[in-house]
Amino acid sequence: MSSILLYNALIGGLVFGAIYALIGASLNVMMGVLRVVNFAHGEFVLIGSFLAYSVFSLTGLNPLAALPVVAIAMFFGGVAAYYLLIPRLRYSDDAETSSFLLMFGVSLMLVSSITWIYGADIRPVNFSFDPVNIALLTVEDAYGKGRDGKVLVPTARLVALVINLAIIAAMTWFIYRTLPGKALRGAIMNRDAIQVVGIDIDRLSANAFGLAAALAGVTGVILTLVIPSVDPNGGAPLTLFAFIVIVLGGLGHPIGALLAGMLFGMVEQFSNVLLPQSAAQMVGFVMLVAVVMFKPEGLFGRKVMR
Amino acid sequence: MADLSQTAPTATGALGRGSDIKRQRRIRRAIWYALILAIVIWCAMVPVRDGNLSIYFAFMLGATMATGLNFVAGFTGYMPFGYVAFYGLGSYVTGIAVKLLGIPVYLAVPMGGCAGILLALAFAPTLRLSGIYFAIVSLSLAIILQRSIALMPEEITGGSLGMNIGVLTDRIQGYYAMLVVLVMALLTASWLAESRLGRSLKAIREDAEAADAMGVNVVRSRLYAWLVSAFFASLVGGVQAWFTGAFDTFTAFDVLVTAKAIIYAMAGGLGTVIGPVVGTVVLVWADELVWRAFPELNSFLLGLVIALLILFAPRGIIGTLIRRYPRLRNYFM
Amino acid sequence: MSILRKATLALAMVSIGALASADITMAQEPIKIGMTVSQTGRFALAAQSGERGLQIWLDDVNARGGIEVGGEKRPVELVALDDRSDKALVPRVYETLIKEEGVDILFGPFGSTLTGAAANTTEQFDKFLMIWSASADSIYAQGYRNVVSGTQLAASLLGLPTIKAMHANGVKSVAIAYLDEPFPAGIAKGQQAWAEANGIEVTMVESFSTGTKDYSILIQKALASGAQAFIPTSYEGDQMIIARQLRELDANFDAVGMFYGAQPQFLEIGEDAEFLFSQTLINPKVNWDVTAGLTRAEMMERYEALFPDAAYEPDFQTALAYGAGVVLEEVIKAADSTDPAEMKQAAIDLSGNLTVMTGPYAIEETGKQVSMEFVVMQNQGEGNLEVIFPPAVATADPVFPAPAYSDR
Repeated sequence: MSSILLYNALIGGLVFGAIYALIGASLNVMMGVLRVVNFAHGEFVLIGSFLAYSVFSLTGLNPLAALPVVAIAMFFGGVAAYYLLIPRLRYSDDAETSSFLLMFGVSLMLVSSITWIYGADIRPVNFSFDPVNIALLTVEDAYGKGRDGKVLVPTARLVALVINLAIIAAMTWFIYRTLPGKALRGAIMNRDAIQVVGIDIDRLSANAFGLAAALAGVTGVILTLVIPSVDPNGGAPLTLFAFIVIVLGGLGHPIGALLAGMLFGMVEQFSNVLLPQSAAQMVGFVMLVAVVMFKPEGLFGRKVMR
Repeated sequence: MADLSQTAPTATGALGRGSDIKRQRRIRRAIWYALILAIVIWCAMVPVRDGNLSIYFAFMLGATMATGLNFVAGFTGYMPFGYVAFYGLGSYVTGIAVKLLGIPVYLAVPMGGCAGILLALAFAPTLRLSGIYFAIVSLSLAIILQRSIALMPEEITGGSLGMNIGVLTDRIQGYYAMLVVLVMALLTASWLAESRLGRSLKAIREDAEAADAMGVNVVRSRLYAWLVSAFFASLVGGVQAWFTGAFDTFTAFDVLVTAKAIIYAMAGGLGTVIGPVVGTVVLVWADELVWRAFPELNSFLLGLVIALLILFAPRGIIGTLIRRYPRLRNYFM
Repeated sequence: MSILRKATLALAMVSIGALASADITMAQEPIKIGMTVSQTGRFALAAQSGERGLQIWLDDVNARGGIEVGGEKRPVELVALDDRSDKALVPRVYETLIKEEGVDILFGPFGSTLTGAAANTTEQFDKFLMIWSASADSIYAQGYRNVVSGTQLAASLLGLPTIKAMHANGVKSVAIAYLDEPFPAGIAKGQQAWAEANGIEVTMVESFSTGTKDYSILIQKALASGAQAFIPTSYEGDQMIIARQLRELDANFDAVGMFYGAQPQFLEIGEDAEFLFSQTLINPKVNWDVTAGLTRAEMMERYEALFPDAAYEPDFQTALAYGAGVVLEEVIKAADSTDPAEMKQAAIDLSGNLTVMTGPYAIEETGKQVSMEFVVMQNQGEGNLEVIFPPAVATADPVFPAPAYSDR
C-alpha cells in the first residue's frame, strides 16, 4: 500500500474527526443537561447546511457567511423548540425513551419539510476557494512506476478544520471557565443539586437546548465546505455518528466527546484505506456495540450512567 | 389458561368479589375473541370479494409487528429500536430457503422464525443494558446485520437488486399466511397477559428489584418475552417475502418498519393486549387516506402523529381511555 | 419562438387533443395505462423528467385519435400515482392501479430498484409491463413473462460506450467504483467484463453504499492503483460530489467516465463537469430515421410547447419514456389487443423492425433491451458539449488525455 494513502487518511481523519467531535459535543449538551435523546440531531445539522446553501445560492457569497445568521437563528429556534416540546415530557413514565421517540417524530417532520422546501435531490454547493488545494509534501513513487504524488489538503477542508477547532476551543473555555458554563456542567453532574443553589433550571435547560441547536447548525455550515453538497436525507447517518461519538466518549463527558469524535474520524478514514469502502462503513457500529457491551462508561468516562 | 383455577378465591369474604373478577374476565375474553373473530372473517373475505389485498396485508403486518413489539416494549419496558433486524432476517432466510434450497415456502417461513429465535439468543446479552443504551445498541446491531447481508455473495442474497421469489410463491397464500400469523400473535398476547409469565413481566416492569425479591426470575422472564417477540417479527418478515415476492437490504431492514411497529403499538397503548390492534387500525386507515390525498405530506404527518402522541397521549388510545374511565378496564384486555 | 406563439400553440394543441379525445371517448372506451411517478424522494427528479416524455407521447397519440385495436381507434388515458421513491410502497400502488383504477397496461416506475418491485406485482396479476428506465440485467433473469424494456438498454451493455471510447483512445488500465444498487452495479460489472475481455487492465473494483459523501480515500485508492482512467458510477447527485472531490484532490486521470455528466443539472456545476466522458441518447447531433413516433426535433418542439415552464431541458429520461410510449403503441397495434401474452409476442416480433427517436429497437425473449446504445459526450470547456463516440456520429475529437486540473 502506498504511504500516500495513510497521509490522506490522517488528514481526512483530522477534518472529519473535528466535525464528529463538534456534532457529538452539541448532542452531549442535550443529553447531559436535559436527558433529551435527540434523535433529530442530524437534521438540526442539516438545517445549518441548507441555510448555508441558501445564502450561497442567493448571494454567491462563501457559505461561511451564513455562520452568524445560522448560530443566532438556531439558538432562538432551539429555545422555542425547548419550551414547545420538552417540559411536557416530564409527565411521561420514561422520559428518556419518550424524548427519543418524540425527537424521532420531529426528525421525520424536519426531513419532509426540508424536502418540501428544497426538493429531494442532492444539490452541489458549488463554491470554490482559490487555490483549490494546498500541497503539504511530496511522496516519491507514490503511485508506482516512478510517479510521484503530492499530499494535498483541499483549502475548503483546511478552512473548515481551523474554524472547527476554534469553535471547540471557545466551547471548552466557555464550559470550564465561565459561570454559565460551570452551571451547565453542574447540571450534567447533578440536576437536582444545582437547583438548591438557586439556579433556574428551566431557563438553564432552554439555553442549553438553544446552545446545542446553534452548535449543530454551525457544524452544518462547516460541513458544506467539507462535503460540498446538501442532501435532505443526509441527517440520519449524522445522528448515528453523533450517538456513536457520545457513547464512545462517555455520556455527558464534554472532553470525552471531543476525543471520541477525533478517534471515530480517524478510525473511519483508516478503515476506508484498509478495508473495502463498503465494509469500512460498518466499523463504527461495531465499535459502538463493543464499547457499550464491554466498557459502558465510555472510553474516557469515569461515571457510569447506563 | 392453566392459571384459571389459581385465582379461585380462598377467603370467604372475597367470594363475591372473586366471582365479579371472574365475570369481568369472561367479558374481557368474550370481547377479545369476538374482535379476533371479526378480524379473521373480515380479512379472510377480502380475496373472495377480489378486494385490494395490499391494504389489508399492510394492516395485518402492522398489527402483528405492533403486537410482537408489545411483548418486549409493553410487557418489559425495553424499546428495541432495531426490531427490524428480526424481520429482515426472516425475509432473507425465507427467500434463501425457497430460492436456493427449493424448500416449500410454508416450511421456509417457520425456518425464518427459528432463525429469529437464534438471533435473539445471540443478542440476549444486550438485555442487561437499559433505557437508551439498549435502544441504540439494538439499532446498531440491525445496521450491522444489514451491511453484513449486503456484503454477502450475490448468488446467495441477490446483491443490491435483492431477492425475487414472486414467481415461486403464491401471493394469496401469502395473504392467508399473514392472517394465520396475526391470529397466532393475538392469541399469544392474550395468553401471555393472563399467564404467570405475563404477571411476572408486569411486576418486573413496575419494579424489577421488588419482583426479584418476590422470587420472580427476572432474567429468564425477560428472555422469554424477547424470544417470543423476535419469533413473530421473523415470521412476519418471511410472510412479507412470500406475499410481495421482492425485497432487498433497504426494504427488509428499513428503520421505518421498527418505527411503525412502535408507533402503532403506542398509538393504541403499550402494555395492553388490544392496544396494538386498535392503533394499527386507526393509523393504517389514516395513512391510506393521507397517502391518496397529500402524498408529499405523508412522512410529515407520520412524524407529527408520533410527536403529538408522545406529548399528549403517551399511554395511547386505550391507555388514555382506561385512565379516564377506569371501568373500561373490565372490557379491554 | 416568442412566448405568445408558444402559448397559442400549446393552447391549440391542448384543445385539439381535448376535442379529439372527447369525440372518441364517447365512441370508444380508452386504453388505461397506469404507472407510478415519484413525487418525493431521491428518484423524484428523474421520474418526473420521464413522465413529461410520456405526456408528450400521450398528447401525440390522442391527437391522432388514439390507437387502433380491433378495427377501432381507442384513446389512451394515463393514471399516475405517487410511489415516494419507496420500494416497499411500489407493490401496493401497482395493485391499487390494477385493482381500483382498472388499468389495462402498466408502465414502469423510474429505475431498476423500483421496477424490480413493480414487475413482481404486474406478473402476479398477469399484466403487461412496459419498462422505460430499468436496466439491471437481473430483472430480466427472473423468468417474468410479460415485461418488455421498450428503450432502456440492459445495464451490462449500457455503460459500454464509455469504456469503448476509452479503449479507442488507448486507455490501458481503469479503476472502477460503483454505488451498490442494481443500476450502478450492473453498469460497473458490464464495463469490468468488457474491459477484461478487451485487454484493459482493471486495477481496482470497489463498491460503496447509499449515503456515502466522502470519496477522497476512494479517489486516492484509484490513483494508487495506477489506473489511467477512472469510472465511478452512481446517481447524478453523487457523481457531482465525486467530480468536485477529484478537482480538490488534484486527481488527474487521462479520462474520467461519469454517466450523468451531460445532464443539464450536471453541466450547471461548471468547471468540475469538464472533460468527463458522459453518456446520453438525446442530442441535436444524433438523429435516427424513425419508423414510428416523432423525430428528436419534433419531440423537442412539443416539449417546449407542452412544458414551457419546466425547470430543465428534456434529458435522456424524457427521451427514454417518450420512446417507450411509442414502442408500446406499436406493440398494441401489432398485437391488435391488450392481452399481455399477445402483446409480449408482438413485442418480440417487432424486435429489429422498429426505429424510434432513441434508436433501433431490439429485445431478447426475456424482454431485455439490447439495442439503443447511448453515445459518449464530452464537455470540452465552457459547456461546449460534443459527441466523441462512436466515430460514425462523433462531432469532435475527444480531448484526451484530459488536461491536468492545474492547467485548466
